[in-house]
Amino acid sequence: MSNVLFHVALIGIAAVAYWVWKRHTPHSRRVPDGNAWPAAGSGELGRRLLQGGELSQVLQNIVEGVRATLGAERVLLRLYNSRTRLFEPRAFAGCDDQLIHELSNADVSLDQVTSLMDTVGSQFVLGGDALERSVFPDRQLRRARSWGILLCDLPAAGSGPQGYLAVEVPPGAPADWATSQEQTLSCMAAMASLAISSARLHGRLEQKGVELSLASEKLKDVQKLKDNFVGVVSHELRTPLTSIKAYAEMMSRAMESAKPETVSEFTKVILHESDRLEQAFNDILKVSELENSRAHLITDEMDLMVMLREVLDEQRDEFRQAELSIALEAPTEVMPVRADRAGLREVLFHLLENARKFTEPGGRVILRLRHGVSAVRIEVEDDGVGIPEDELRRVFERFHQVDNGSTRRFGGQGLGLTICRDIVRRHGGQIWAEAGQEKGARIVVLLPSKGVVIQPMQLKSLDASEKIHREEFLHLLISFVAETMQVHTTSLMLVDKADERLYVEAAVGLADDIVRSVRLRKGEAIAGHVWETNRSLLIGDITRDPRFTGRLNHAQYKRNSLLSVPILRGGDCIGVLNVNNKNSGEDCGEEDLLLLEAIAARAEHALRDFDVFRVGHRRLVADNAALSAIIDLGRGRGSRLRHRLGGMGFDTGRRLGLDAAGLRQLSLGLRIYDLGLSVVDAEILRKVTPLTPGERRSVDDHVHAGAELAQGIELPPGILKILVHHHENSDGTGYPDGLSGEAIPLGARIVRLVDFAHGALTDRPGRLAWDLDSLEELVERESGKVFCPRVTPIFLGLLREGRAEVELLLKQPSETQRVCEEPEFAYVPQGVA
Amino acid sequence: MKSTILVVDDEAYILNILDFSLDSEGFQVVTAADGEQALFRADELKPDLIILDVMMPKLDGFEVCRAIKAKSETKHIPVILLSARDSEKDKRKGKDAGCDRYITKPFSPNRLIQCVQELLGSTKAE
Repeated sequence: MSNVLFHVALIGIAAVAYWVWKRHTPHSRRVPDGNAWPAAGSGELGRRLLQGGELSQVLQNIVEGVRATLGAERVLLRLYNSRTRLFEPRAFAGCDDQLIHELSNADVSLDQVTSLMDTVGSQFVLGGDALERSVFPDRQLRRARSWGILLCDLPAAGSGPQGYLAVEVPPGAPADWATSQEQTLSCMAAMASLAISSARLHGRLEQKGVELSLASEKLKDVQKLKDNFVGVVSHELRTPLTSIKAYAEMMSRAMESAKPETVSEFTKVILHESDRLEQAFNDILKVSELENSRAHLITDEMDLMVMLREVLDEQRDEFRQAELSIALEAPTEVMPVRADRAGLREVLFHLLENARKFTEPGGRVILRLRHGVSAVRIEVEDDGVGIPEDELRRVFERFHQVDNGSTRRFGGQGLGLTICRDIVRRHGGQIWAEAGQEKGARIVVLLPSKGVVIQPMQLKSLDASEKIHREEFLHLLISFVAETMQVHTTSLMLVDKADERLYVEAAVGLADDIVRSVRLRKGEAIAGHVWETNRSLLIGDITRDPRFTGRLNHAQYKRNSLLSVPILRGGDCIGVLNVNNKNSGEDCGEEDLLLLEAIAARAEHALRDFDVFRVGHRRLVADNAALSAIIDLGRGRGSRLRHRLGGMGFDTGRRLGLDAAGLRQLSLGLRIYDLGLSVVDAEILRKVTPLTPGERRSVDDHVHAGAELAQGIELPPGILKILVHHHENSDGTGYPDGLSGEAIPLGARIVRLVDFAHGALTDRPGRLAWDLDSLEELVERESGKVFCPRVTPIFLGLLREGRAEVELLLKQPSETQRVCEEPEFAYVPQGVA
Repeated sequence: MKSTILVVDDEAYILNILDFSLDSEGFQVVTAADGEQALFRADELKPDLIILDVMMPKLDGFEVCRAIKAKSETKHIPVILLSARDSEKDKRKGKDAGCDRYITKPFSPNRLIQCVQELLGSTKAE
């Protein structure tokens, strides 16, 4: 590896074709001479061009193809991601895991690449010294002094660079090899471009296919709706008409002979059925009127409670006849809303009528009202037949009525909810259906109380995904805020109850270091002020606001206005939403504030729902982990190194005079102390970049999670103490409780040291294992600070005694995979075989 | 002996007027308010004719008709389907189910009675 040259090519990407590489390249071509390849290889290349394939496979084929054709050691391909504005590593050939890891963590920005191109032209070889001076991040590939970078212009470029290829030159190649291969590489780059474009096109076509089939599904739905319409209208209009016609005909035929009471009865039926016909006509007309946007809303300030009582009174008799109870739950006597009087009355009427129609005698209907931040929530819940889950959305469609398969047990046109939906939407509100508490259905209406438009949440991807991570969820949430508010910059801050600080949990348009560094106390800066007062702030010019600390530096502000609203849960502020830099370039106004308040209310719901989901998910994971812990306990599984160190910890405990019970607990504790890590997202544990405060907390929390799990499998409390406190430091600086000295259980102090030693002696993401000397040195230095001064000398003594053995274990490759069948430190009480 | 007619409809008004008009023509009328009840009554009473509404809860008229025509004890009973659906597709569906007449709503009671008499006459003639 000593005189290896690297040859790096910047490659553009554009048209249609694709390179297939077959792995078994003839060995003789491993070191080709300068220009041999294009002439000899183009025919073969042509044969290897095929259609189709997934992008990732195509990229892999390219790097392996380039590597074998040029006889290079290592090849790396990066593609430009216009969203992150970074060149991301997408395919590697000949790189070991360590190198892949390093390369994956090096960000290559557009600026870095273009500045290199500006300095030295579109195609060049950057030599060792020049590269040393440049800030080009793929220097990690470097294994020797002399190597270079070749930059190629983009063939048939669309808009800007799309990626580049870094190639290591074969050992023993002549000094001018890199220059001589420029043409070959350009040619291959063009081929690669075609292949990548083809794969991308292919992906898009597949996507189109999916969209098309969705559209055809939709068409089928429309057809079904049409059939429903014909069926429902003919039934609803013809049924009363049939009665009218039949009764009238019978009356005219039997007028002379008929008894007076028969005539009177027939007349009643005809009148009643005429009313019914009229109502059906009106409903149908209303729907078409609403849909044709001819109906105008005339909004007024009014008291929702008064109107509700009126509508309730109107229907009271019908409810009595149907033997239904009706309850009203409202927190206040007065609830002002701004709405169209006739429209709102119509909505309430239909919601109640609906609940009545679909509830069996003896049932109950509950009307719930709540005043949110900027919307009134109206719920009508019944315990009737309910709505199947897949119908929840469709009940608002025209002429849709649940149970229409078994044909119309319940009268009505299936128009009531359609009318409600149209009216509510015209008010800028939202309406949806949910399952009732035990059975039945609940229709929820959110009516903006101040003329705010409430957009439906676009968190569709949450529906299907079971494995959603908190980060993704928050990202979706904050993207939704940015999109709805039409702003460049927005941040979601959440209150951490444990340390009474406000952290940025997700943001759009803010630099990462700001996101990570902002921690606000109650009352501190603008968001802290919102937290303290529970009240929204609309600030016209932050530079003149005394609460503005300038920590979010001025460069972030294209405009000086800022919105900050609290996210409230039961009167408590659980977070703050901040917004500024509107896309339109205007200042934020009163309207934006109202909209953001409405979003904050929805965000609270979303966060709560997500937490419920998380708890459920976590429990699942926990049960799973507890189960495997039992199995592991039974088998004494784990790496040999860990068992050896555990054995030393166990002996330390024995020498320090732990009793039988204490030793038994220590023995178990040493095996399962990091049980809680199974609950922490694996992605966080693999991270090499600094953790965000939220991630840090989720890692720190693993001590509690571990205890929970242990409790789940009914281990004695002594072990739980070890699990909870094995990250406490002797000087009180550890977590979770900041215990110090002898207040920390002895078992936990021993595990603290064993855990640390094991971690230090193994490779971890972002760093290599330490050697034994460094470990000993550090442990000695930290004795009395991190580690217990009583435990340290004994453990270190044992470690020195067993040094040869430990060193042997350290040399074993992938020793973590090994299984130790017999734990070396199981406690066996004396006298028991 | 009076002919017995089973009338099935979930709309009480229509049931009443059919009862009234058939009764005044001297027929014995039995009623049912849904498809299941109709099948039960048909089995139990073996009426001379059945008038069936199509859009009903539980079992619709097509299904009831099909079931009646599938049973050897009841398949000879003439069935008149009453339906608010007047598309050719629905009429064909009625024929496929084995009905003897398909009358669309709104209907004329006089016309219906004529129809009943025709059907009963034809079965008596057999």
